[in-house]
Amino acid sequence: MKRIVIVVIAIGAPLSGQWIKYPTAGVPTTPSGFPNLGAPAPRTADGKPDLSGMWEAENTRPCNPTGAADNCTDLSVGTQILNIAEGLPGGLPYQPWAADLVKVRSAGMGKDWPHSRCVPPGVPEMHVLPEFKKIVQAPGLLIILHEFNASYRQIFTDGRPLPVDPNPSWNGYSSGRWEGDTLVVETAGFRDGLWL
Amino acid sequence: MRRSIAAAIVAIAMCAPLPAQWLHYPTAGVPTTPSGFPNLGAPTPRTAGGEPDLSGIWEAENVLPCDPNTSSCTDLRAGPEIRDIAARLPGGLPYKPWAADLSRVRAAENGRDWPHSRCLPLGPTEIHTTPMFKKFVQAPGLLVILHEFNASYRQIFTDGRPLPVDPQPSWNGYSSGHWEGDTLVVESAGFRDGLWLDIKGDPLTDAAKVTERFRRLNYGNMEIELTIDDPKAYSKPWTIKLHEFIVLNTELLDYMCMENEKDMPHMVGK
Repeated sequence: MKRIVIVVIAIGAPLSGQWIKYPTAGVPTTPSGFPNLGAPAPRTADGKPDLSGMWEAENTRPCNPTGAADNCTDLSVGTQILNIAEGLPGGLPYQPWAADLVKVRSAGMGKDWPHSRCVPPGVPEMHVLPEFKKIVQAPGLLIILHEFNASYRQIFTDGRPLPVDPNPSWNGYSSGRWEGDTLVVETAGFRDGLWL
Repeated sequence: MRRSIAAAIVAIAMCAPLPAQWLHYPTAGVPTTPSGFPNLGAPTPRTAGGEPDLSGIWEAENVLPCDPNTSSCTDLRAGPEIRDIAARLPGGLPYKPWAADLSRVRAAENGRDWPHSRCLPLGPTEIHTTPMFKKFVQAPGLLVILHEFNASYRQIFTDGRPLPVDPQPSWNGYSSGHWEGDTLVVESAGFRDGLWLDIKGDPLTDAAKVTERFRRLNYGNMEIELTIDDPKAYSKPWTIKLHEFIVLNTELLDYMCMENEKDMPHMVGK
């Protein structure tokens, strides 16, 4: 008679072996050891706030178990992904052609939304998408790494003026400077036809 | 009679002021010769921690000289490895039989199914051999490589983390690096199956472990020694050397492959 030997293989990897759960270094904690999200903003060696870290949008569309299910999500995404002017009193100050175009596109249910064709989201939209963004703040350059298409955006903080008549670009050309504790970033040189 | 119109020739300044064009924006901190030229042989810059600083924009060497007898020349910064990763490896690749067959079939089809031509991400060799600029940004605990192709990034962690065990398969793999003297040794694994190493179609499987040794020789030159240990496709590990040159006074441009993509229906192989 054939003998069958059963071998049990441990399928759980050690937690530290998984980067999906790799602990972030340097997180300030409460006395009980939990992350203290209200701790002061970290600063770089030159005293400026350090924006480095992974960030996600707020979720302002929580699912109400008793309400309609078509406008809620557990993704970290706010209502601005559908309408960038959500919550803006008076809405957007459209030129007439722009208002018409928005009506046509909305009626088309966003069928020509560039994002659904795998092209970059451009600048306002990259903030409202539910994917993670990692900010790496280096001297003279702030990089935003975006999970969508494993893509980056560069914000120069080396004082350069915006370029004059540059090659049109999906991300535009960004130059930032500190005003107190606020990083003010100006961007121009976008290609035409981006969606907000 | 029509009066001739005095043609006013307006000299339109076609060139914007130099500092206003980022394509010509001067790189900061370039060491110079006594005459003021960039000194590419100056010592390797170092970080505050004393390690070599690999930061900068880099391009591959151009060793595809134009030969009027072949169609294989270009002024792009690309070496022969873009077509054949083993172009300068004595003896070629130590293929397992199925890998040799697959490579032959793909080459015969002129790279019709090359993932790059479908706008998919570059594999671990193509990141270095593709003729686009790469910007290395060396931050504490993390080396980021920004690549013009699809304005894409690759992360190399230098915070000491071990490679993940059984991670989600990835185009870039998972990379962890440590310094051995002045060489950054980077190990990567966790690649998705089915990557191509070159246009010819040499395969890389999900069993692959890739080791890169980055050594910045001086200000302007970097060497990358790349070892591939892929026991599913190759009977032993093999190593090639690539050379990169620093790029000054310009900036990355975004190349968005999916924008107005029209080539795919025309790729029919033979």
